[in-house]
Amino acid sequence: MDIQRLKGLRGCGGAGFPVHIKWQAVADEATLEGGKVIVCNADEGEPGTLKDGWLLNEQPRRVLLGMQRAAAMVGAVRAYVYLRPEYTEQLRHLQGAISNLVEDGFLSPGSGAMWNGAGFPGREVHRPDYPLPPAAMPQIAPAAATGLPLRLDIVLGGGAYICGEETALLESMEGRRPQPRHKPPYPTQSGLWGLPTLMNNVETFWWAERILSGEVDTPGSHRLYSLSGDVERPGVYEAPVGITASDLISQFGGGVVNREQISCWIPGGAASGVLPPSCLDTELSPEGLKEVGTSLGTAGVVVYAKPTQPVEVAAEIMQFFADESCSQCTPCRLGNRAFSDWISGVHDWPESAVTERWLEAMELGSICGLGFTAPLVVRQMQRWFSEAVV
Amino acid sequence: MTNSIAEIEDTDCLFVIGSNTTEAHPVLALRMKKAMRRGAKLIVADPRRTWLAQRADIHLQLKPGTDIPLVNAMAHVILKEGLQAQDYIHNLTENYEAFAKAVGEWPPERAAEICGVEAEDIRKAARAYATTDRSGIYYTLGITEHVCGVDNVRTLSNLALATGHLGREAVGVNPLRGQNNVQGCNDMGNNPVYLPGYQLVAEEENRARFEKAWGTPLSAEPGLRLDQMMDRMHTGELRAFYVMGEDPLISEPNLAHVEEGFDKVDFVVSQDIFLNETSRRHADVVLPATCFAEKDGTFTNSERRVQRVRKAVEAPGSARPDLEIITEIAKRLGAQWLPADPQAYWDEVADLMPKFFGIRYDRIEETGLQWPCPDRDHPGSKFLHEGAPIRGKGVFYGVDHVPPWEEPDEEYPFLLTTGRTLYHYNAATQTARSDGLVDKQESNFIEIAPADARDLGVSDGMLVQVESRRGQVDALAVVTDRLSPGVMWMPMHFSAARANVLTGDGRDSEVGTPEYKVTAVRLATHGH
Amino acid sequence: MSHDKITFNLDGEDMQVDAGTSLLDACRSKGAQVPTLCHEDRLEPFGGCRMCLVELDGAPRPVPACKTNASEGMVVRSASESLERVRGTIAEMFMAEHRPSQGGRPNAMEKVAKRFDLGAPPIQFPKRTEYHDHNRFIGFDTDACILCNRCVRYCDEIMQVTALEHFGQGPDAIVQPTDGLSFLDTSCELCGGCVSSCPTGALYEKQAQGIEESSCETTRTVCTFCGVGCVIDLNTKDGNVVKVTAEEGVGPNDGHLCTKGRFAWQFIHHEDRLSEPLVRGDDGELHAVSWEEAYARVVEGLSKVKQEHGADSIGFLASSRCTNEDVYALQKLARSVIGTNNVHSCAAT
Ligand code: SF4
Ligand code: SF4
Ligand code: SF4
Ligand code: FES
Repeated sequence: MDIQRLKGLRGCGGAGFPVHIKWQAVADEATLEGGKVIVCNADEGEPGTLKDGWLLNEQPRRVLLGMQRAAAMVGAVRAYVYLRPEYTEQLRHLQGAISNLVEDGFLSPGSGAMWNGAGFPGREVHRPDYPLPPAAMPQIAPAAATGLPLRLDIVLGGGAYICGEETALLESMEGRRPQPRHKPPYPTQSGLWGLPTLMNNVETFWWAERILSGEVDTPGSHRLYSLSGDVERPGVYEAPVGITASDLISQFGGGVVNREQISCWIPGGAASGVLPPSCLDTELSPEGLKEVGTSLGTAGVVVYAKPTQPVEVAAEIMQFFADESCSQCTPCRLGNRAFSDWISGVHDWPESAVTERWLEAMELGSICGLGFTAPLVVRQMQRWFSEAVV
Repeated sequence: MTNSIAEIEDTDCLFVIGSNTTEAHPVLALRMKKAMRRGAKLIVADPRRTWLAQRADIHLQLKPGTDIPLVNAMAHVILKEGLQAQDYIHNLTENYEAFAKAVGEWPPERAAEICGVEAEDIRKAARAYATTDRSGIYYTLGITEHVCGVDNVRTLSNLALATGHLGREAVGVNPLRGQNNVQGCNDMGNNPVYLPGYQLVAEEENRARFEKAWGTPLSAEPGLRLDQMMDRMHTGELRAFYVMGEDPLISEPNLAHVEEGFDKVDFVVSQDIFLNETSRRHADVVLPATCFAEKDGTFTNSERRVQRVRKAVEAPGSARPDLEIITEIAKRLGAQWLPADPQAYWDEVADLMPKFFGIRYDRIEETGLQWPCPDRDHPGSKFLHEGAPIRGKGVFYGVDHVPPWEEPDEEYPFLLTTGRTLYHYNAATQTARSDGLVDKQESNFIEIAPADARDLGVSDGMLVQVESRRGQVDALAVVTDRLSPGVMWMPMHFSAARANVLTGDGRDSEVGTPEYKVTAVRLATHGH
Repeated sequence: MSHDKITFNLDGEDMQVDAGTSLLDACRSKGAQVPTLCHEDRLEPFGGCRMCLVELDGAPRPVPACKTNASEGMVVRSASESLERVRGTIAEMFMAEHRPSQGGRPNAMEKVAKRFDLGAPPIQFPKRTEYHDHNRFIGFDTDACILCNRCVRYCDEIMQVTALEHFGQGPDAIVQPTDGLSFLDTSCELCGGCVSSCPTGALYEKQAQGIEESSCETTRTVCTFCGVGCVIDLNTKDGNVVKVTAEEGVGPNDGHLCTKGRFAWQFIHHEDRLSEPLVRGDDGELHAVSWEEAYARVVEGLSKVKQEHGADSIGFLASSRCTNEDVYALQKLARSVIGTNNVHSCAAT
């Protein structure tokens, strides 16, 4: 079966779930009235991550073809790209690519419709004025009428970090406050409008297309790294999984002026926490990063030179999480807020037994990944920069 | 109601006709909302685009006073398409032919023209109602307050009989009672032809039972309905009037006529908790009564549930419970009655009403009981007509359209209909004393369709004068697309601008219910 | 479907429940004490407060009992040292922002905090912006709000008018009437259901502000504003009605009320209430008299008309707002004492 050819490829949105398992799960679901759904998560919001936006500018057709293949393999009839609202240039490229694919006979006519996903009331979103989400699942023309099975439309995101969480994204698409859903059920079982839904990240579809078209035969061997911060040549680079941060910086990023000047760095987007320069020779792979307490995440490597202090970086991240909490569940809403205040010095740290309990409550009590992985940032500080925190 | 309030949430098709339920019966409407959330179909027949109508699968925005053609046409569709419940009709009903003949005259196209709705919508509504297993009909004054109020109800019961939507859970024909104890008031025999428990006063055997219990002979002569009493005031045949807790000078139609009548009455007693128009102008004696919070007793709600009312606070000044006042008057007129203890009076009347016999205070301490409840072990009746209609066979009626008593003409070109709002209650004697409610709705208003407003040069918020052949009132214009052109709507609550100054003398010929729902009016803007 | 039975293990014992039963209901039926804040039986489960977390074998972390249905073969623990610690910590988080309201309504948040015997919270979040509104019924003490969303869900799910919203996100998230307007200017129908649903008393009744609900006596009776017959509890203090409440699961209303039933009780103690009998004097005005005198006038007036014109020249009109006993007595007066069947009531529906 073709899906097995994806074995080795892991999702590139942060969680790293094996792609072939997810595709197979959706393929195995029964088809309901309304059909199965493909969603491309293009709501790239993780600080330090740029690669999806880059891909949509550079190779939108391949991403869409990846979705089209997925649809054919799992039996989906509708597909959506949920795009970060600020990505206006990418939107143009996407629209162009969609009309080309319609012309070329890959997508059904009518594809490329747009609507604006819901955001949080009170939060301004800068995006073009498209219609509100439909009140109910829109009808699409059956394949028999169009000659082509897949209808692909675009939804502009709600303009919040949490909109990139897969179930919050679905809520946003359906027109509600983008609050993550409780899982199970997983989107593969009951996703958009209750239909079995296959959702992957932009980069994931891009790799899938390259693998299935035969261009790449070692799934998962490479990633697109977003390199930013105090390096000579920030950008998006395709490099092997397992490359060290130092090599990535020197071979692709043109190096930093002086290695002694590095204050700290982030290996896989903000949520992966802050590491000291001593870890620069760690392999950028799930296994390598696990040893230093974190994960590859979105492969967004950010380098900070002195005089930036690690605690400043961590404080900024915690503040970001506190602000971006959807505020649905208590541990995330109030836990992030407290740690943001403590780490930035707005409030004095309580004794360590208390912080330990609060971290535990966030890890065990939150609904979604934002809440239960945010403590990692604090734990990494405790491990690597203990003098800066309690 | 044939069925219970709680069952509404299990209903799969709600046919709401002549009821703005979310405003007039807000808590009952919550059950409808729950059913809708579950996916129940909703059909609303109402001249206004009410909250429910806006959310209805089918809104039949009919002209006021055209309910019979509409419902007959629905029945027409049901019979034509063979959607009727053949077995039910065959085994449990009678007079089917007359019904079939009458509705045969009403193809949807004919009704559509008179009602001002789409024929196709009538068809859809008929199909939805007939083909859903749990379909219930809900109506209020929008059905009864017409010259043909009784016939309106009959057409609805025809519909339920034809489809067998009776005698089970979550179906039925359900009048939603406007006032808290309309049901009880009728049950207790406050009716010129019925003794308590719907026992005809004209029947000797019934009278005998009450004569024995009450120890006095009773008149076999049926009494006068309220409208007849009002008329007899004019002719000098009604010389004394005893009114307990009502204000006919606000609530009756054609108020000018009522007022004249009262002028001719020799002696008027008003027993109430506030002074009202009637007592202020006409009462010879005003007796201060207690309100519900100051007395014990029972109320019977729309679903026939007898529930306990309990005293929580003392009455103001020397105000006394109604029962005590009446008992005292009876005593002074020479009668030997029990002391004024509500429980004793309940027992007295329950002993006389077989359907209520099993309902006693000790059984309704916690939860009320629904009559019929014939004995002390009977659990009460959640719905009526189980197995078969109560009287053995359900009777169909052949009903034809009865045009309203008054229709718009050149001089009075608009059709005014009236109703309740959420924030007030009847003549607002109680609600107008709640500042918080007045904040939401201060004064009288009239809803006007945008097209009419444009033609008349009326804008939103403008003070207008509404005139009928009988009188005129002021109201603030509310321009709204809730109404179709030609139809206007006004609440019935505001005593300073009594809508009933306008309403006419049309009444149901059988029960005398006034036609509050259709009046021909014209509009004048002030300063013109 | 709902007749299917599920067998699962709760706290070491096998248990059979109907399919679709939540773990919370299962725990309750077994008497297991699981604290809750955002859950309300009449609303759909939300799962936001996280007080009701229970351990589920095979799940990566505890699950909210209110939002998780029992399924075949589950192994669930409703209590453990770790659960107790996590729940207590979440309560502590709440107490870092919650400032009890003086509105007088019961406060479940404080009760939960007491149960965990919490000391001073390790951090105190700043006060929120106060909410002022000129509506006379509903007060909102923003600093007591714990964002459980019960009010919002009540308004969405039960009333379906969406007059409240969970606004913003993160530290700035608040609950407020839609767009921050007055309750008078939204689609709000002033039903007060949100107030009844609020576990903290952040939403309270202005008319009873400061009067502790627990210090009131309650008398169960029936609302008089329409034919639904909602069962209500008149809350009285020092002989006066101060508010109206309704209990879930009771009467045709199941704890719900409309604006009239909940708030329009002022007429009871209104100064316009008639407090003494009045008789019309020769001057054409009404004058206060004793009951003795009033009764005498009634008896005299009725007797005279009956004597001169016969019983059928007297008419009686009963109110459908009086009790059954009252109206029974009135028609009995008409029929058996006066001797006429001229007795009717106002509206036929
Ligand atoms: S963990 Fe945070 S972002 Fe996720 S559901 Fe809870 S409050 Fe929302
Ligand atoms: S009072 Fe009722 S309608 Fe108004 S906000 Fe509260 S729940 Fe909604
Ligand atoms: S006002 Fe009350 S019910 Fe509403 S969210 Fe706040 S605490 Fe919960
Ligand atoms: S009660 Fe279950 S999460 Fe709030």
